[in-house]
Amino acid sequence: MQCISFEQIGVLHKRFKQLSHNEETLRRDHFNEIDDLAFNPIRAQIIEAFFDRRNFHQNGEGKVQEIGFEEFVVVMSHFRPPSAHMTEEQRGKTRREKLRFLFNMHDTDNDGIITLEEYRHVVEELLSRSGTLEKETAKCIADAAMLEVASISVGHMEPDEFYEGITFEHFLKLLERFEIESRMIIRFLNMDTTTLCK
Amino acid sequence: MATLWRFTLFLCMLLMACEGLSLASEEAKTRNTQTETGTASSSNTTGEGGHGGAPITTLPIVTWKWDHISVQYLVALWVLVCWLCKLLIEANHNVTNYIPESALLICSGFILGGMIWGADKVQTFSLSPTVFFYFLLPQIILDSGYHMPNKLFFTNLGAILIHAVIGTCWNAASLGLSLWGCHMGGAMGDLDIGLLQYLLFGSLMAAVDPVAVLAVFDQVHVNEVLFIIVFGESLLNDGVTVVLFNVFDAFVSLGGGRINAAEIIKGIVSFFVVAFGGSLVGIAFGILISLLTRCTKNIQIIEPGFIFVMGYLSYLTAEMLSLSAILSTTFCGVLCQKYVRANMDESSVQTVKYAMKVFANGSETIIFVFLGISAIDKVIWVWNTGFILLTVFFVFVYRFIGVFFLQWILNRYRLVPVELIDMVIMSYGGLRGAVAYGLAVLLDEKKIKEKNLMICTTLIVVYFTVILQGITMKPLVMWLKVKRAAVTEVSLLEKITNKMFNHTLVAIEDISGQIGDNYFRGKWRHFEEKWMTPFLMKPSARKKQDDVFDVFHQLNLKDAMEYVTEGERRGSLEFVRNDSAILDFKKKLESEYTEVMPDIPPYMINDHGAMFTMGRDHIPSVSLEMHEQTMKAMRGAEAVDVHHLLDQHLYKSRKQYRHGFSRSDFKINRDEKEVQEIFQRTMRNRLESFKSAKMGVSPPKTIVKYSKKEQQEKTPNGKSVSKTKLCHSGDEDFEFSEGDSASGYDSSYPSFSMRATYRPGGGIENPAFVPDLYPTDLLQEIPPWLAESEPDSSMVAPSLRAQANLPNSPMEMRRLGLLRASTRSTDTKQMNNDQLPPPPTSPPPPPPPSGQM
Repeated sequence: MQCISFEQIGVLHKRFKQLSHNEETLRRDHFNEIDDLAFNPIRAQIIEAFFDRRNFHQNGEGKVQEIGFEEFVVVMSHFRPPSAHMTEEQRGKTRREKLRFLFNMHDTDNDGIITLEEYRHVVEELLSRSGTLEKETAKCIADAAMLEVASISVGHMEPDEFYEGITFEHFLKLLERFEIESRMIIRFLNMDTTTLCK
Repeated sequence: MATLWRFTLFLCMLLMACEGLSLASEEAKTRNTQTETGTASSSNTTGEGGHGGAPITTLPIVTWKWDHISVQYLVALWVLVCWLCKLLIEANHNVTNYIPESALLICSGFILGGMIWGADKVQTFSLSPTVFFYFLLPQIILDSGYHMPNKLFFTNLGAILIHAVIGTCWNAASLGLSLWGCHMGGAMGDLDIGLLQYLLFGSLMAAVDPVAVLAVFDQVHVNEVLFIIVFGESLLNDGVTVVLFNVFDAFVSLGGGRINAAEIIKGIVSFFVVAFGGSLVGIAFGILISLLTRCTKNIQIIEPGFIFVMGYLSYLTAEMLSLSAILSTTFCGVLCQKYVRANMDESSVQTVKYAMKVFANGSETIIFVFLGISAIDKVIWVWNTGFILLTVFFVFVYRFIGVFFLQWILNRYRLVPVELIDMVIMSYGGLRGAVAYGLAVLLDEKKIKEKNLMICTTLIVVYFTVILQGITMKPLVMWLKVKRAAVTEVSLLEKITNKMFNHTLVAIEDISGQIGDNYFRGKWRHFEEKWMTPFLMKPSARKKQDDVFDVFHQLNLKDAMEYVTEGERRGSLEFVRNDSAILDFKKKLESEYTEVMPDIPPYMINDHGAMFTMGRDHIPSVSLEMHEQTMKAMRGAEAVDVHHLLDQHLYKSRKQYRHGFSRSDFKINRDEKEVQEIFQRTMRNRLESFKSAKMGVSPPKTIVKYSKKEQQEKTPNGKSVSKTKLCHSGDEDFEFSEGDSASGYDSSYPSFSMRATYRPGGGIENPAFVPDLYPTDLLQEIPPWLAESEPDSSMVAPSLRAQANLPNSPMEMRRLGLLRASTRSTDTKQMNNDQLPPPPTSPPPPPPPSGQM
């Protein structure tokens, strides 16, 4: 497993200081100040992800109000590239971790299930912010996707059955073809000098 | 083997016919040089007919006018022959499984060429550069640009450009220099080729050919990154090839002595001008196409043609300005694809897609066959073992060296490095093709003495790469266990997650404050949404541009189609609406509704209309399937509903055949007499069936009144009145369906089966489209409050409720329902439901389902 190098940590630390205005911790308003983030339709989810204990260590729960540098790096480390020589097992593990991060962004109430409500919320944010799709359409798309998920992961359902939502196992299975281990990657080295000067 | 014999025999016969004709032409007149190209342009020969022949003595009834049409005839015949070759090749799959089609096509070209040689003793037909570059290549390039996976292409653009520019230069230089070195070393005997000529030859051999690459890689299905790098390189290196070729061609003309630093700098400058100029021309044309398709709503039939004409024009314009035509067309296609797809009508988009494939695939076939035919020519075969073998060897080896070296450097900057195995395939996929051959034929014989040797060598390299490497490509990919492309059947969830994921990456990059690939992509998307899209896209189409919506739309279409097939398989007329099932379903819905959203006030649940519109979003997601019986019944009901929607369209298209003369106007039957004729016939049918239906049950008052009014309005002066109605509805038959539907209404559900018994001449045997249109009209004529206050309205209710149910059908219908929702019909519906007070006893009155209000 490739780790984040000292150099990268240095870069991230610089950025951290810059974002927090040289304070020890980062709060949500600090994130809201980032200009580039303003256009992002799922800004809220992203910011929440930084304050989500589940993303810090495995059995975390709940939210925090401010994060230190360590947490910042831990969240960022979800986006590190995989090392070139990985065994199948390691690959699977990386995959799980990365998908877990995505899953947590959906699952806001931390019950291990993405319910329809939660999913709908995300899709609405994602699609209707741009103003091209109406809320109604976004909702329907979310529903259709959910139904699809239900039919894929459960198959035939009894009449009285109720599909609660996507569990993590289903999520893993559904996104099997999604090569996340080679896509959820960010290079932390080349810093944008202009943002540093701001 | 038998197939092979049949194949040969068949081709023999075809060729005999062809030869006979061409020999005849020779006797009649001296052969025009243009016919020799086989697929030549028709520019010169058309006018030189036999009109000025000997004075006639008597009026000939039939004359032999071969000269008039010889060129066009030969073109058409050759196209036919080439395509028949493909047909025969594709007929036996056990051969194409091992040998790629392109190789087989070249081989069949050999056979055809052999036959021509046998008949004529001279190669009459060969691939001329004019035909290749102006008539066969453009559509292939346009197709690959238009169907380019944009995101993949731009993500890997850096690697593609490095390979295309530096790789091609390296290939050209190394090949030219090494051959020259070998020449100096005396490996090829006595040849009159100088260093510059060698470099010229190297530059024409350098380019990887898009046609050949596509043909081979299409069948191998390697992973997409590998594919896009090789294919993108083959497209973009054209700019480099053209420049190198022109520069060295000019240098050869100038002679070695007069080349100085200034000339070389000019050459380098011309590279940038040609490449970027070509791309700019393409972008300009892409914007033009997008703008054009914004306003072609009224000429929908020729709408797809614009893409082809403009694409071709972009090719020709770039060629005219001596810029890179291939780059121009590629970028034109890449740029316009998104906007064109959003702006044009669905059917036009499909037409473009298929026509593009027809043209591209067709000309690809012709190119390969003619590459084979061109080989059978004694003139070009000048054998020089040293030169030919060394060329093949160097081409192969330098490709490997170049790719490995460049990719090794690139890998240091890639987050996911390209693996060694992929590099092998990348090198191995460096196929040379018709572009190289076309350029070789373009060489000037006066300046280059050994032109024929070069053509011959080029052909051998082409055969070596296309046939040998093509055949071994698949086993090699298997043997090396190259990562193959995943079979992509994208689910909605994947698409959404993908979109979300991309936003996440951009956001994280923003937070970590750096510029990465995602940074630019995010910025570009923002720019595009803000400036490009409003400018280039129809306002109504903008929501369609969303790729998630696109998938959604596709799924909807698929669903709808499945429904029709399913319905037809079962016999669509026998769907019986099951009342209890609907009630059952409703109950279920209510309970689940409260379960899912407890915060919804209960009165809303009592209001069936509101519940249905909102409930639609829940049903599919909460309870996946009802019990079997319910399901079946529901499906029947849905199928009827869907049948409506679709059959209306299907029905319309049947009209098209009735008056297919008109080229533009296929929607409305304007032929007055025909309308009257149909009207009278159907009217009679209607009246009869109406009578018989009426006898059974007494219909509710309003309905009777209504239908009577309609009848009165029409029957006396139906001939004139109906006309306007027809035009507006576009389907004369359904106007009369009032009669049946009214009768259908009173007998409520069984009416479907009853209607099914009508004679086909009536044109209404499909129950599906009746109720859909009916209530729309009904609402227009009868105010809802009137209908409701009517004491008999409960009789009407069931079918009306079914109507209300239509877009809300559960299960698989959810997407179809949504499709309507997206086109403002939901709004009207919801509005309606809000406005109308819930009826005391029965489910709500019908909201108009389509946007006719």
